[in-house]
Amino acid sequence: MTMTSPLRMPDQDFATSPPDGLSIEARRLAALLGYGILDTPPEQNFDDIVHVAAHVCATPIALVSLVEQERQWFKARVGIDVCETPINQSVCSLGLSSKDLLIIPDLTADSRTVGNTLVSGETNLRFYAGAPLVTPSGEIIGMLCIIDVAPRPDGLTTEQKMVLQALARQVIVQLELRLAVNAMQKLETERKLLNEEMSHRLKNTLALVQGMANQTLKGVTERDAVTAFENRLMALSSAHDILLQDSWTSAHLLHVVEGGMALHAPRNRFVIEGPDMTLGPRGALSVAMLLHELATNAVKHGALSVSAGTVHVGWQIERDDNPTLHLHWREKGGPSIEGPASGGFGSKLIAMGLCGARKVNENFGPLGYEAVFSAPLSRVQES
Amino acid sequence: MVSGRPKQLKVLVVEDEVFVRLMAVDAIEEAGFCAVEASDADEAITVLEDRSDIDVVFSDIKMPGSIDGLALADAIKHRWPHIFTILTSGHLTMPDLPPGTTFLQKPYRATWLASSLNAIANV
Repeated sequence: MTMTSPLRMPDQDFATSPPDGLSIEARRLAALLGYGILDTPPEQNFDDIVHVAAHVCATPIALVSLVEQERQWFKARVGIDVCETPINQSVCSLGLSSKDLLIIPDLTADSRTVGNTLVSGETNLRFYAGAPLVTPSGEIIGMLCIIDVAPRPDGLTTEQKMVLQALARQVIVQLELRLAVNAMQKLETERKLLNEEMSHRLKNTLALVQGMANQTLKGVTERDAVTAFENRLMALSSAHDILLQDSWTSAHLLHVVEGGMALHAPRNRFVIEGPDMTLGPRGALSVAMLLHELATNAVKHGALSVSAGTVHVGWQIERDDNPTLHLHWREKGGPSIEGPASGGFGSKLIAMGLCGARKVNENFGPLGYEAVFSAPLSRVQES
Repeated sequence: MVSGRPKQLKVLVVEDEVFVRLMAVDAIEEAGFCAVEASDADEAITVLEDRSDIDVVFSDIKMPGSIDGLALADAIKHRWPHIFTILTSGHLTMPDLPPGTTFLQKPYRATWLASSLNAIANV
């Protein structure tokens, strides 16, 4: 920051025109409009800044004034009722050509402001000090200013000047933050749209595979196998829906279990118990497909084959050096199960366990089928 | 319908993907109804202009041609208001369906389509 006298003339800093052909004023206005801040409602972050400025400089009025072509608009204000004034009433517009403070100890004694109706009229403004709002690219889009109704021959103290300039930088920080947040929201919206489009295509592909299988396997007499295929395809499709809810980054285990079980039984036929946790896409698909096989068996010969039976699905995380997820499946109130139903593909999928970890502990008996599936937490949460 | 007997529906299937269309035709016929095929919305309009016995149009939403399934549903609502429309697509949700239209998400089961048709037949 260069040292300047409190009183200075405009246009002393930018003597040359900008290289890109746009006038200084056009670039300045473009920078101001780029923030998308004009005519937005008051915000605490900006209000706080003017309150601190007014307090530190002991003035009745403080403003965040953004200067457009025909008006100055106040994003934050204390001590003044209007939210904007015409440009011919703007003292702030005099400070736009320099990055230094603009201080006018007595507005009636300055040729640039003596004719201003806010000075000569009822409002009676006398003392003005403003710190320019300088964007990172060097454009000055307005001023953080404090105003008094009495002249101040001594202007501001060194500390007050420093505070005013620091607060002006904070205004820009807030504006930049808004931009960054908006950009992130825009990216997030685009990512969501892209995910939905990808999901749409995936669903269409699944429908195509389903149609191809349907036509190709038309003459097959082993209808159970055809049905089993279609059911697996529907379970996969449903798992994709759950993953899409969080843009394919993760899925809550609870949602995966609820969604998977809903394909097989009404909600009152199963009990779900476990701490809130998320799975990665691979883990979510694995749990969904595993539950599908288990539920299919339960509907065929287990607890869901009789009206009184229920299935309890639970999970817990064993915390040690290598945290492990244990997923429990317990059937209650069903018929006695002698042993594994068959050596079919369904049994193979169950034996693969969670994410292919092959850590499966099955129990068959008079009380019903039970199994615990374990896998490293890092594997089921892998993105 | 005045009688309590379900109507023998004639269903126009509009789907550009042939395997998916044939599966729909099978599902419709297995449910005891009659299927007519069109491979896009333009062809569907031609069919509807040619014959007056179509009761239901079961259409994909995203298809090649001058209009998509949503526009087809709109056209049907205006030109053939007696025809029921069922739309299908891979989208998870279809927020802006024309009123009176039902929606089946792809991939759908033959039984889902059958129950939608039975509901219409029993109106």
